[in-house]
Amino acid sequence: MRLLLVEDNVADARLVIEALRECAVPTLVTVVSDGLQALSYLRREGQYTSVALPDLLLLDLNLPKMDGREVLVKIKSDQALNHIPVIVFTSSEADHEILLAYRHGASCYLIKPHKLESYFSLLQECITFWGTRARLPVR
Amino acid sequence: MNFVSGSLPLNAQPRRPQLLILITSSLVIVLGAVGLVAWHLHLPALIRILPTDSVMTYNTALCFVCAGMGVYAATTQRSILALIGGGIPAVIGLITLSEYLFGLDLGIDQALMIDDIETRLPFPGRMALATSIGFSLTGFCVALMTREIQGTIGFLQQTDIVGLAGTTLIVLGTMTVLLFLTNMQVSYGWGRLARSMAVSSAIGFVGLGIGLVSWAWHKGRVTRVSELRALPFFVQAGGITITLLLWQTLLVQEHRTIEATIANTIAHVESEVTARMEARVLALNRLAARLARMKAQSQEEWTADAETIVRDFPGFQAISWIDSSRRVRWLAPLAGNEALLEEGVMSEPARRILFERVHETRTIAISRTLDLVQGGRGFVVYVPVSHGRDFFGVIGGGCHAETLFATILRGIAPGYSLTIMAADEELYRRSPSAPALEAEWGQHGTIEFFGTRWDMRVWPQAETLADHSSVLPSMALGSGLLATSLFSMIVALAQESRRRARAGEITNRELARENTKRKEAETEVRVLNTALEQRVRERTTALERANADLQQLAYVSAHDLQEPVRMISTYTQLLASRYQGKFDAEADRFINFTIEGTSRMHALLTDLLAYLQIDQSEADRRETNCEEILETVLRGLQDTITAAAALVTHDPLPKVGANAKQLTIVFRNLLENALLFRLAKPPWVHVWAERRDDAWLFAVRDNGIGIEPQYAKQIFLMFERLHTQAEYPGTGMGLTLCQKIVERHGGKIWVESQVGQGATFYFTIPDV
Repeated sequence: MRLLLVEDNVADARLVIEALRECAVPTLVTVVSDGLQALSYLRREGQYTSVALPDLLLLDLNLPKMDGREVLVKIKSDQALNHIPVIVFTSSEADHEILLAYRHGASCYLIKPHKLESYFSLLQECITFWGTRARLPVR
Repeated sequence: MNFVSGSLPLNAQPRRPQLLILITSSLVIVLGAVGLVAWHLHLPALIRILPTDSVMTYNTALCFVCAGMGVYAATTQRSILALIGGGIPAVIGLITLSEYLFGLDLGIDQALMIDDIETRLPFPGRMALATSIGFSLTGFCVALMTREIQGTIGFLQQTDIVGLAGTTLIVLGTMTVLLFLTNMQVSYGWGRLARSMAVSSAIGFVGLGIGLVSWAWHKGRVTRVSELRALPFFVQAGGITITLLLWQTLLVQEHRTIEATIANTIAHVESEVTARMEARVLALNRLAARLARMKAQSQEEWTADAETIVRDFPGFQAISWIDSSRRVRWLAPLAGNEALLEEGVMSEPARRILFERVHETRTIAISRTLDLVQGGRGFVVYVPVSHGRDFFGVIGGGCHAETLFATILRGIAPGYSLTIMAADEELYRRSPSAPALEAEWGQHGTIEFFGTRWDMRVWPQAETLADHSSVLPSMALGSGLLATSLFSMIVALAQESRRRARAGEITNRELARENTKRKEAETEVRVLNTALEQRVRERTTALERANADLQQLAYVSAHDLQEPVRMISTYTQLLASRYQGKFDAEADRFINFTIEGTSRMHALLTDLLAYLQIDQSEADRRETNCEEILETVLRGLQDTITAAAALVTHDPLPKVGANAKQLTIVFRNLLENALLFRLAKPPWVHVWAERRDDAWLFAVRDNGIGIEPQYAKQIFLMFERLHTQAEYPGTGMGLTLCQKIVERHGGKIWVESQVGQGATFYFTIPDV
C-alpha cells in the first residue's frame, strides 16, 4: 500500500514510519512536509511528475504554508483526487475540528495518542483496516 | 407692630447726637428758660405772647428746660444727667395729672412761683392737663432712652415706645397750635374748666416730640418711610388730628350760626317791641290830641276812648288825664285804679319829675321803673295835651311792665327766652330759667324809647338750640375716626402684604435659585453619570476583551504545549522500548522518571485544557438524560471498575436541563475519584438524585478513605491534592473542574465526609 504522509514534524513522521514497520500490511510511506508539496505531489507537478498516486493519505492539520484543512478541501474538490481516502491524523481534540474535517470529506479523524503503545497500535490497526478490510478504489 | 422695619439689629447706639436732636433740644431749653426768666422778672408780655393765648406756667417752663436737657443727655449717653432731666418733668407731670384725675390739690402748682398773671381759671399756677400728660410721657421716654434694651417690652420694642411717644407729643402740640390758629376759643378751653396748653408749650412739645422721633428713627435705622412699621400709627394720628379739627370747625360753625340767629332774633324783638310800644303811645297821643282839640269833650267820650285803648292794648292798666295842675281829672277804667286818684300819687317824685319834663318839653316821655299804685312794677307814659301854646296837662298811661311785655312779646321769637331789664332791675322774664344756656348763649339788646332805656337778654331755649344743632359735627367726628382707623388699617395691611410679598419674593427668589442650583447639580450628576457609564462600558469592554484574550492565550498555550510534551513522551518511550537492556539499570530508571514526568505533564495539560474549555464553550443547556450519561461514564470506566472489583449502583436519575458533555465530565470525575480513593475492602459506589427546592440534588457516595472535614473546601481548589502522587495519582484538577461546571449551571457542589468512613459528594442542578 502506498501511503502519503503529510507531516511537518520530522519526529512525528519518523514515529509513523517506525509504527508501520511492524505492520501486517506492507506499506510504502512517502513524506511531504507541507500542504503545497502535498498538492504538487498529488497533482504530479514539479519534481513529482513521475510519482504514482497514493492509496491513502495521512494528513496532519497544522502545516506550514498551506494548512492541512485547506489541503483537505482542495483535494476533495479535485475530481482527480477526491477518491483517495484522507485520514486526518492530528493532536487536536477540538469538536469543531473534527466536525469540520468530516464535513470537508475526511474519511477518518484520528487523534495522536501520547502513549507509545497506543500510538503504534492505533496506526497499525488503521492501516490494517484500510489495507485489508476496506476496499479501495482501483488505481 | 414695630416702629422699626424688619430685621435690622439694634446694636450700636449713635454716639454723636444728630443735628436735629441738638437743635430741637436747644430750642426747647431756650423756650423754658425764657419762660422762667419771664416769671422771675414778672414780664407778662413774654409769658402770654398773644392775648388769647393761655399762659405757660412756671412749672411748665421748668419742665421744658429739664426735658430738653434730658433728651439731649439721653442721646449722648450721659445717664445721670438724662435721668435728672427726665425725672423732674415726669414727677411734676405725674403729680399734676393726679391732681386733675383725683381732684386733689397737692400744692405743687404754686410751690415755686405764685401765679398772678392768669386769673381767669380756678387753679392758679397749675399746668394744663395736656401739658402734664406730655411731661409724664417725656420723662418716661427719657428714662427709657438711657437704658440699652434689646428685645421687646410687652410687645413693643424700645424704639417703638419712644417713637410713638414722640409722635403723640407732636400731635398734641400741633393740634393745640392748629386749634389756636383757627380761633376756636370755644373748644380751645376744653370745657372752660381747666387751663389749656399755651401755644409756646405746644411748640415746645412739638420740639421734644421731634427729638424723640428722630432718636428712635436713627436708632432703629429706618431707611424708607414706607418701611416704617409705625406708618399706620402716623396715619392714624394724622387722621385723628384732621378729624378733630374738622369736628371742631363744624361745631364752631354751628355755634356761630346760632349766635347769628340769636342776634337776628334780638333785632327782631327790638323792632317789634319798639313798634308795638309806639302803637300804644300813638293811641295815647291820639287821645291827647282829641282832648286838646275838643276843649269841651265830654268825660264820657273820653272814658269810652280810653277804655277802648285799654281794651285794645293790654298792658295799660289805667289811662288818666292829668291836668295842668297835676291833678288826676279823668281816669279810665276806674275799677281797680282808684288809688291813682289819691292826692299823694302825683307828688311822687318820679311822676312829678316826669310831669314837669313833659310840661316843659311838650314831648312824650316814659318814666323809669316805678312802683305802680295798683301794685307791681311798671312805668308810666305821659303824652302832653297841648294845643298851640296851651298846655292842658298830660294823658298818662300806666303800664304794668310784666303784663305789658308779656302781651307785646306774645308770639315774638318763639323758642327763645328773654329778660327785659331797666337799670339792672328785671322787668320781665320769659321762659324757664336756664342759667347755663343764658350764660353761654345770651346776647344783649337795647330798646331806647322816648327817653327810657330797656336792656334785653335773649337766649335760645333748649329745643331751639337742639333744632339748630345738627348731627353733622358728631357724624363728622365719628366717620372721620372710623375712616382714619380703616385707612390706617389698610395701610397696615398694605405694608403687611408688601412685606409678605417681598418675603415671598425673597423666598421665591431663593427657591428659584435653589431650584436652579439643584437643576444644575442634577444636570451635572447626569452628565457625570453618563460619562461614568461610558467609562464603565469602555472598561468592561476592555476587560472582557482582555479576559477573552487571556482565556484564549491560556487555551492556546495549553493546547500548543501538548504537542511538544507528546514528542518528549513518545520518543522517551521509544527509547525505553528500543534500547531496553542496552543501557544499565540506572539509565532505565532515568528514562522511567522522564516518562513519568511527561505523563504527568500531559495529564495536567489535558485537565487544564478541559477546565479552560468550559468557559470557551456555550452554556447551552438542553434536556439531558442523566441515566444515559451515567451509563456512558460507567461504560468508559468499565476497566477500572473491573480492576477494583467495585460495585456501582444508582437510583433512577432524572432528566435535567444541562450541558450533556459537561455533566458527563462531572459524573466521570466523581466516579473516578470514588473508585480511586478506596480502602482495602472492595469499593462500593452509589449514585442517586432527589428534588430539593427548585433544583435536582445529585449525590455520589463511596465507602473509600474519606476526607477530613477541615479539607472539605480545600479540595475544590485548583491543583490542590491531599496525597502524594505515589499514594494516589492525580492532577488535583478533577474536583475543580466539577465545581466550575456545576457553578456554571447555577448549582453548588460540596462534600460530606469523615476519615475512614467514605465520602458523599453532593451537587445541585437548578431548573432552567
